[in-house]
Order: sequence, then structure tokens, then C-alpha cells
Amino acid sequence: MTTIPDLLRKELSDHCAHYASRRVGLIWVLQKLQAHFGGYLPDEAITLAAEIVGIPEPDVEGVATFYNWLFREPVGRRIIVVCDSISCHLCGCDSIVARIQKRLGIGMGETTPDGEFTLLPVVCLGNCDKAPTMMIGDELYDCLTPDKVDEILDSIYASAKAGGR
Amino acid sequence: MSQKVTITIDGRAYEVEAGENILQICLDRGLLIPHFCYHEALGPVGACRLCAASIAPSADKPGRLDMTCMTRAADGMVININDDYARAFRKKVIEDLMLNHPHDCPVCDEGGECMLQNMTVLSEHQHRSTRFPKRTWENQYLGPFIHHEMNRCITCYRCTRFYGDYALGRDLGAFGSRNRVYFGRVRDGVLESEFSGNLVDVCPTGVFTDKRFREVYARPWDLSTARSVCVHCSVGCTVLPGFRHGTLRRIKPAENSAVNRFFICDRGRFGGEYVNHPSRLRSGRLEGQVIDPEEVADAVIGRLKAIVAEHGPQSVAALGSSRASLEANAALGILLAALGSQTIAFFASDAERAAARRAAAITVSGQVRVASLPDMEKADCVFVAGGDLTAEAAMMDLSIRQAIRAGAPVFILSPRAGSLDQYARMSLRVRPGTEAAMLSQIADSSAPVGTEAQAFVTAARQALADSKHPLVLASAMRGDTALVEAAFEFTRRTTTEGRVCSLAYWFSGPNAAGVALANGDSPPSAVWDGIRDNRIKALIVLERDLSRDFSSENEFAAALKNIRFLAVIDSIETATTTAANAVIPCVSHYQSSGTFMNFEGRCQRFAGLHIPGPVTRTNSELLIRMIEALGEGDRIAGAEYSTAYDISADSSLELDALEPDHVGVRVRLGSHLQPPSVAPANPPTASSPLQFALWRTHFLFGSEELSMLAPPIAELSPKPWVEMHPEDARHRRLTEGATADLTKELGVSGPLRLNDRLARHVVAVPVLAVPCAERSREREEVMA
Ligand code: SF4
Ligand code: SF4
Ligand code: FES
Ligand code: FES
Repeated sequence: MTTIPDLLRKELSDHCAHYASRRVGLIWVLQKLQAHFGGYLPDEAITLAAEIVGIPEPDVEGVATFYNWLFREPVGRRIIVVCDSISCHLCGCDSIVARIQKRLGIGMGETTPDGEFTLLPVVCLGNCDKAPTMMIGDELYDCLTPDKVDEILDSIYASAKAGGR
Repeated sequence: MSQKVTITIDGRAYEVEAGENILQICLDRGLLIPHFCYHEALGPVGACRLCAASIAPSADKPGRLDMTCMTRAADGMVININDDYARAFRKKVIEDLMLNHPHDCPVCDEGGECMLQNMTVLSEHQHRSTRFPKRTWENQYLGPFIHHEMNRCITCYRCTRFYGDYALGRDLGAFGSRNRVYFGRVRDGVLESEFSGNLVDVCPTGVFTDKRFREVYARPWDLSTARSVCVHCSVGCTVLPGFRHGTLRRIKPAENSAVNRFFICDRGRFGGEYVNHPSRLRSGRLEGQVIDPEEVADAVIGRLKAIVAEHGPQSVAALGSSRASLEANAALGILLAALGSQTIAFFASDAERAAARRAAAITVSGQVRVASLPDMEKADCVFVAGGDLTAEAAMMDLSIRQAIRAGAPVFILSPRAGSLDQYARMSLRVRPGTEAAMLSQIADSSAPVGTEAQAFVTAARQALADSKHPLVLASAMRGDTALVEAAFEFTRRTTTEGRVCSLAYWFSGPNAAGVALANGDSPPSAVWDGIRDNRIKALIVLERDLSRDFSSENEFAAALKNIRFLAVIDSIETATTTAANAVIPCVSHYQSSGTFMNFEGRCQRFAGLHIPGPVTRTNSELLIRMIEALGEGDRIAGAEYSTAYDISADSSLELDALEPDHVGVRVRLGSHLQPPSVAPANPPTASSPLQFALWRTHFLFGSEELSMLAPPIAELSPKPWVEMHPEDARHRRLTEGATADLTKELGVSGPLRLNDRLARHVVAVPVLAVPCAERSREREEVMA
């Protein structure tokens, strides 16, 4: 059984105490645990969250598997999400996805062998007027073209090499 | 207050209650609207979108498509189920629900009683137009009861709503989102809920199916069924056993609005398989010779007559059973009377008899309000005393969970925590035998309270003061008459202006309340003393294993030593049949007809199925044959339970007319009848708190002898152990797993388990009904 630092456990538990019902704190707890466990929630994180929040494990698993940004499997250091909803679809998101896949050598839902990127689809980033759009990590990129994708990835790799990860 | 309104459905006017659920109104009147997520017990959620109809607030307004399950009746409302648009909508919804369904009906166990099949046909969806690959799932191992087949899921959420919301189970969830929602456990494992079997019925498709039934599958229409009453505890749920080719295939709940409504517990559903166990008696035996059942019955009469001729009629005694019908027990009494004797006893000990008789008398006395299961759901404050409700009367527990959902606080007084304790407002771990005193303290706000119980009693008194419909549940199965009395007192004392307290006791067997009202029975000690003193030479036993009444095999053997002739009527091999001179086999409970009286004094008639096999006679039929063989057949005519039992004349009339499809009648003693008299209770001599008290712990799976013969129940039963509070173990320098030898103090020993939810200075051991076959195997092993 993996344990977490007492300080973190206390922080998580105290956070839940702010609410009338402790379970309200669950998503925040899961986000914190995801960060602690290196970007995803291993099985023991689910057990831990259930224990800390004080709710049954299936309720935690239900939430952890429901939301896009909570991952139950290891993912890359940066998540690429490409919008495939209506506006972006009309403006050619397929070619964006194809370029990323070719460039990184991975399919949708996969992670590059170097652990740098995971590619996922998303339904609308609320940036439809600048379609097609994608996000890498916390950064939003819009009015994409396949060539622009290359530039973006190049610059990310360059800065990663320079140690700016 | 309810108010009548008129609504129009498909052009016809109906008078209904204002605010009633439109879908339920339609279903009740045979107007079928397809639906999935709505279930009468679980209520509406409006999730599946299938129950749509055109609904207009009044005739002059246009109708709009809306969910009937989410609409409440209001005056003038116009509903069109057959509206073209609504029909097309429903057809489309079911097509969508079916997108990922594997269409594997020919090999699905749900086929023949599948709600999805029915609703699909009803919605007129016929052709699948999608060409996508279907999503598929891995199934989970969920224990010996339930088989999982997730591909058939249509995401109606009924399972989690029953399991989690209704039954308060904590290990089944819904995972994922969109078209990839999964219903199961976080990881493989045995479902924890005592009510998991109901998933089989609530799931409208074949996702959750009865694992045992799968092994011996038959299409539902090929099963022979007849309404019966569950035989495994005093709640008396109505069930529908299904037989085929001479074996029991499965048990389902039968709807009974006054008792279990739609559900049953897992002991009731999966325990019935005892009927197929190899230790079912298949032939008669006389002094070791295998002979025809009826021949044994006749030979037994010959032997009994000879013993009466030699030693007088008082040399014969009988022991009746709380798992046999009123009729069979009455027939046993009549047989005994025909031989000239009166010594008949029903309970394991004098103490159990006294407590059960007092509790049964109170229950039918009409002096206090006795709660049925549906009544229990409406309680706003609940006190449970003297045992583990979930293990000893499971469906009462499910009713209490409904009260808890509605906000009722629950207070539990018992030596060891059970499943219900996790939902209780507060529990107090007490020494066995002190529950009565604690109950009295709660009811009497002027009584002084010890420091240990201070917080509990204060909270309980406060909750009681705030309640309008409190409820007391007390055990009448452990021989604690003081507790029975205290619960009665509690109910009377706390029923004041503006507050009606109700009461229910639970008993040791499906018909224990019935035999507790027997007229002129004897305390069991009268039988055992008579045997010991050589006054009683012959004993006739009806459907009970006497060895369970003794704490060791040696004691049991010693008690039987002086008996010259032991005759047993039973459907299964037990330690008692093994020791008997004559064994008269009868058919199983689910093949017998008769009447049981449940915990609330409700008499329920059950129908028996005639199943071909080596044994075809019911216990009553065999007893009647024996009475006739004595030339005393006249005693049977009109000799129903009504004359053998103190049941009022008016209710016995109703009883005679009882049909198995009836919800049953609650017996009330007529004013001309005194409640059975019981000697005043001696409070159990409180042992010094420094001595250990023994608590025999009942389990839902393992403590009841018949269900223990069902393999999945035996699989989940506990292994023998001895439990102590960690503090007590520390004082004794005992650690978990060490052998705790308390043979001298308490007559028990075994591997130690620590349990901090056990009262201090109490040692707990499980009550285990070890099947006879296993017992003799163990004996052989010991010998070898
Ligand atoms: S498993 Fe059955 S009850 Fe549960 S959501 Fe699926 S179809 Fe409904
Ligand atoms: S609660 Fe008792 S009567 Fe009801 S199903 Fe369970 S064992 Fe049978
Ligand atoms: S559709 Fe792509 S951002 Fe909205
Ligand atoms: S039954 Fe009404 S929406 Fe499901």
C-alpha cells in the first residue's frame, strides 16, 4: 500500500472539512493526488482518496473515470488535446490530428515512447471562432494549420532540450 | 391531504389522486408505457427517456412530449400515450439504448422475462440501422451469487439506485461517461450487500443474473412455480420457488405489499438450494433398515402403541418445530393427544420459550402498535436491541435502511456490531443481557445513567423526544424475557399525545411466533427431564435438529442416552435423524403447503408444488396418516390450527379461507382470550463484569441450518473463531490468530480474532450450522 506524506494527507483532509459535505472536496483531492503521483491516478490513489474524503471507493472511481482531466493510466508529460467538435471539424481538425500523429508516431489516445506527449481528442475548447484549436499542457493554440503544428512541436522540443521542461 | 382529480388518458377519463405519478397511474390501469429507469420502489429519475407521452395541462392546450414518470397528476391533464410523435420518439430512444446491446437473447439467461425484450417489442423498434462496432466490456467476478455480463447493459442505472441508494451498499458503482459507462465493483470481489440478489430482478436486462440458476438453467416458462413463504427467518417474505425435473432451480421474490414488497435477502434467494442437497432424505429408515417412508410411519405407530401399552401414555413426548407449518405442528399435537400424552415442546430452551411466548402474546394482543415492514420504513427514530438485525431478520434491516434514507436516526444496543451499525446514528456495545436495562433508561428520562452510556442515552432520549413515530425492534430469539418486557414497556411509555411508538420482535424461525402461541405446550425441560428420569421412553421429533439445542455433541448424546425410541420426521439428514431409530422422510418446505405466522403475527398460506421423486409426502400428510393409523382420524376433521392454537375465532375463520396469493392476515387475539401466560421473568443473573460473557453471533450466511446446505451460502459462512476486544486480548496476552482456549470459563476455544466493535469483557463465537455430512466427515477424520 502506497502512502503519501502526512503533510499532504492533512492538507487534503483539511480541505474537505471546509465543506458541509466532505465529498464536495473530492475533485480537488483527486487533482492533488494526480499531481503527486506523476500525472495520473494509480489504483492506490483511488483507495487513498476514498479514505481521506470518507466515501465509498466506487464513488471515487466513478468521478475519477468521468472527467477528462483525471487520468487513470500513465500519460505523457504534456497532454495534447485536439478539438474535434463541429467548428474545428469544419475547419479541418482532421488534418491537424493527422500531422500530429505523423510527427509523433502515435495514434489517438497514445503516448510517445519518450513519455513527452499523450494525444487525446476533446469536444470543444470554447474557442470555436478561432478553429481549429488544440491545447498542449496549459497552452491554447488556435487558427491551426498542419505547418503551424510542426512549428509548435519544434519549439516545444527545442525548449525541452534546453532544459526548460 | 389527498385530493381526487380527473385526467384524460388516450381519450378516457380517469379519477386519480392529485400529485400521483402518471406512469404509475398508467401501469396500474394496464396502460403500458415502455419504461426502464422507473421502478415502483426506487421511484422516478427521468434518466432513460423512454416513458415519453404527449402531455397537455388541459384540453385546450397543445400537448408536449414529456416523461410520464416525472409528471404528477393535475386536474384536467390530457395524456396521449398513442400520440404518433410520442410513439416515434420512444421507438428512437429504444433504438439508441440498444446501440451497443449484443442481441444475444438466445443464449441470455434473462430471456423469457427480459424487460428489455418486452419494452423493445412494446416500443415497436425492429430494425437495427447502425453499422458501428459495438463497445464490449470485461466482466467481473462478483462472488458466488451473481454473474456479470456487462455487454448487455443499457445504462438505466437501476442497479446502482437499488444497490447504493436503496440498500445503502457501498461497493457497486457506475464508472466512466458517455457510451462507456460501466456498472460493477472497483475490482473483482464478492458483492458485500446482503441484498445483492435483487440486482437480478431490478436489472431489466441480463447484466446481473443468478449465478446458481445459470448452472441449472431452464427458461422461466418451463419452471413449475407456486407462491410460498421463505423458510429461513421469522420475517416471512413471500417467494416464488421454481422447480424443473425434480430439482429447485431458483427462488425469486413474489410481490407482497404487506411484507417484503419487491425484494428478498440473499439468504432467502440463495438458501433454497438446500432442497437439492445430497443430505435430503430420500428414503425411510427403521433401525438402520431402509424402507418406504409410509411403511416407516406405520411401523412407528406400532412401536409407539407398544410403548404406551407397556409404560403408559405419558411415556411418549413430542418436539415440534419453528420451521414447520402451523398445520404440521398442530397435527403433531393431535397425534400425541391420540396416544394419550400432552408433553409437546417447541423451543430450544425454557428461556427461549418464555421470551418467544411473551413476545408473541404482546404482538397479537392489540395493546401496542406492531410494525410491519412497510410501517418500519416510515419510522422517524429507530431503536434496535439484543442482536444483529441484518443477520437475524434481514428484510427488517432493509426496511430500516429506508427509514434511515428518510432521515431517521438509528440507535443500536447489542454486544457486537453488525452490518446495520455502519448506518446507525449511534451504537452502544453492551454485555449480553443488559439491553433491557438500557432500553428502560432511554424511555425513562428521570432514570440515572452510568458514565459509559451517558452520551448514547442522552442522544437517544433527545432523538426520541424529537420523534413522532419511533420504533423499537427487539430480539425474542435469545431467551431474554426481560428485553421483551422492556421493549413492550418502552413502547407503551413513549406513546404519548402526538407520538405513537410501534414495536416489533424478531424470532428464531419462520413459524416461531406461531408455535409460541401454542395452547398447552410444555417447556423443553419437561421433555428432557422426563427422558433423564426415565419417565419418557419415546420421542417424536418434527423437523428439527436437536443437536443444535446443545452446546456440544457429548451433551447431545448424553441427553438422548435414555431414549428407547426416537422417531424423526424431517426432509434433511441431521445429527438427530442420524441418531434416530426411525426416520420418516417428508418433502422439502417448498414442496409443502401450510401456514406460517411471521414476526408480526401475520399468517401466510403457502402452496406446495408436487414434484416427482422418491419422497412425495408432506410432514402434515405423514402425521395425518399416523393419526389415522391409530384409528383416530376423527380428530383431524375440523381440527385445524385454530383449535390447537390460541387464535381468536374471528381470525381463524379468515385463516381457513386464506389463499397463498393473499398478503396474509394478522392475527389478533379475541377479547375472550387471555394472552398466553408466562411466568414472570427472572432477569438474567448478571455475571460479574470481570468475567467474560459469551455472545453467540448469528450470521446471515452460516447460522441457519437449511440455507447452510446451499453451496453459495456455505461458501460465504464464517469459519469457527473466537473473538475478543483488543483490550481484553491484551490483558490476557493473546494476539490475533493465537489459540484462545476458554474451555473452562465458557466452553469455547479456537483461533482468536480481535474486534474493537465488540463489547468489553465479551467473547463472541459464530453460530455455525454445520451440515450433517460435513460433521460426520469431520468425525471420521478425527477418528482416523
Ligand atoms: S447493469 Fe442493468 S440495471 Fe445496471 S444500468 Fe445496466 S441495464 Fe441498468
Ligand atoms: S428476510 Fe428472512 S424471510 Fe425474508 S428472504 Fe431473508 S431469510 Fe427469507
Ligand atoms: S468546436 Fe473546436 S473549440 Fe469549439
Ligand atoms: S422511466 Fe421515465 S425516463 Fe425512464
